Amino acid sequence: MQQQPPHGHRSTQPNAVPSSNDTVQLMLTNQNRLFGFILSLVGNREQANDLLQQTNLILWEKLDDFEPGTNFMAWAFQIARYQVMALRQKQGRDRHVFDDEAVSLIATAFETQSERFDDRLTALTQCIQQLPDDGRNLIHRRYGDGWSVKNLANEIGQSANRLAVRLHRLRAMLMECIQSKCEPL
Amino acid sequence: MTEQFQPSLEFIELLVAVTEGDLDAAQRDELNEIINNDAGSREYYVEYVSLHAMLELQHHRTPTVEMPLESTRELLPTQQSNWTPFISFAIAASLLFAVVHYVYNNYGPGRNVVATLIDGSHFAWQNADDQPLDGSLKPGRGQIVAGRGNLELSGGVLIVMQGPADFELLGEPNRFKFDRGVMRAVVPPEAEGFTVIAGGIEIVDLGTEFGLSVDKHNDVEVHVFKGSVRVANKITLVKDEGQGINHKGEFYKPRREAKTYPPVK
Repeated sequence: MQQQPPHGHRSTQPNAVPSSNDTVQLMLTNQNRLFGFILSLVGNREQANDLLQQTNLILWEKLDDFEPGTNFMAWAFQIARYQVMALRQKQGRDRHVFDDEAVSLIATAFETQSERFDDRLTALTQCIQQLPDDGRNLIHRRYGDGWSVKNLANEIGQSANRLAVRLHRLRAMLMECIQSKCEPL
Repeated sequence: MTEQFQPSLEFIELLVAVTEGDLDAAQRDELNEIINNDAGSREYYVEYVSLHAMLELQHHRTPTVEMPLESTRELLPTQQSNWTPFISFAIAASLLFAVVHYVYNNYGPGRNVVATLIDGSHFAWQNADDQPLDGSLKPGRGQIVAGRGNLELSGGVLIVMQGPADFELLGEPNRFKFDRGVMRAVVPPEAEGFTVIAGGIEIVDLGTEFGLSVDKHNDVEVHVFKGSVRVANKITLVKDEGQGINHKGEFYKPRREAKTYPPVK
């Protein structure tokens, strides 16, 4: 039942695109960082997913333009940022995204912080283990099982507001823990 | 800077709204204002959202991306200038199929192949060592971030999914777990009894073709295109019937139209 690739398919097999293979890997392995960046710019998960999709399309189209050895993420962030700004221009007065000034400020802050993304990710693993059991379980249910706060609140018989505050406190604890483990730039 | 920063309750509400995807236009304006005028809040916001993204990453939501077909690249200018839902779907369906592959320690390399990725050679996997490159798939969880993806389970069932979708290939050839998104199952006679676990309920095929959707609230909707289906061991649906079951197990009239389920190519 497996179909053959149509003519012109750009396979991801190692031998098919040797000149771009490293760049492809960079693109693949940085999807979450890129998603986090876009999410911080638009503040809406669904919109961030759509924009990530558009950004991926453009990254793929321009893959050959990327110069190996230069900063891939800066390039990817820039393309994502243009997509966000284009969305804002398109939506105009609907104001479903931040204004250009806010986008620019967030982008700068995120790019700086993103340089420590891998270290922070490693620290996060350790910090989650340091949470109290109930907090770790709550984080797991929220993120691992993908429950929304509202559904989770229904499930455990707590108000959504109270649960949201609890989750916020856990995130704040994790932020503090990560900071203590990662040297500031 | 962030360690000295103490967010206000109002700011915390905005942060929570962002992580829950509930930020409305008024809140966005408010947050916009804060970001433009308060560096401490801005830095905290970026760190907070970044943590949120990392937590998703830590909990197996790591996307990898299928590379688009050469022939469909010509569509890109249209897609970029007219991003309507229809075009979005059309482009996504033919172009971009991003797969999030969840790696669990208990899914070792010795596990059996339980499915085949249709057009499998088109896919790139972030963890190429974990899934063979020949399109055969072992048990594990995955996600389609965008576009369409087709799998054939070893029991013969064709699964057509439309992203974003979360799913899990179980260790049994005739069972499939679908956590989020929209899918269609085409079940050959020899695979009768095929079962999808969705939103905590079981949908059991009785020789059929059916569509299934699971939204972010864990509400499940089923539409039967051919044959019949048993839902939650409570009701049996036949051709052209649909049923919604919310996360509390209550039945409701489905909101999704049958025509919106992904077609078989």
